Amino acid sequence: MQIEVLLFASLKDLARADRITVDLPAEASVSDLVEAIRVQYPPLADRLPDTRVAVDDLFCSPDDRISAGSEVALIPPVSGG
Amino acid sequence: MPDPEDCHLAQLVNEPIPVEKYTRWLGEPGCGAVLLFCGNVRDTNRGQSVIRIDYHAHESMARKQLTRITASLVEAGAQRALAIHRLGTLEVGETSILLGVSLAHRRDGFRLLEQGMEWVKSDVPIWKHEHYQDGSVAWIEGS
Repeated sequence: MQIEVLLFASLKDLARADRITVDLPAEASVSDLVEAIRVQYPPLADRLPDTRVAVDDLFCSPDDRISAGSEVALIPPVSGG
Repeated sequence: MPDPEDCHLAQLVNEPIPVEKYTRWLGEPGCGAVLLFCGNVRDTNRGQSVIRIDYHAHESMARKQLTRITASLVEAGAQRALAIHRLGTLEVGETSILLGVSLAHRRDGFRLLEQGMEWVKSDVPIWKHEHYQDGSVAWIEGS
């Protein structure tokens, strides 16, 4: 399946895009997604260890599954307030 | 007993935050303590001279996270709680966030306000893009 992933802050600058498309096997987990991004988008690789994944507006654990149609976002460390 | 949803308020706004209006919203006859935290744009950061900050967000998620925070503050004892975060371009001295709680006594209020800001600083997907006097810019990631 193909999953669209939203990017924010420096990740958006590194990818030169506000979203990327990632190829994933069906039933992929969040950790599978992170590994696929590392391979498919090398400019983002160094930033992935401190980046969290959110699916449908909720932070996820590495073992959570991703379904086609989910809204997925990479969340680098935040700085609001 | 008031509906808990009427007791907390979370918003993202693009205009200056009307602090007095929200202070009135927090006021309740049973609340002897109304505590507010205003986060303002500072003119220096990490040794650089800041001239303005653009605030960017994952908006749908940021709104939900702020709502979770204000609901948790009410659950933890606030009679009312609000979190208003401004997005877009802010000049030095402008208020980027207003966090407020009201309750019977002050001690728990200070604790809740601090807890609420910790949650904002760790779990609300908003980022500063700082502009400096020398013309450079930088994303701030992490506090």
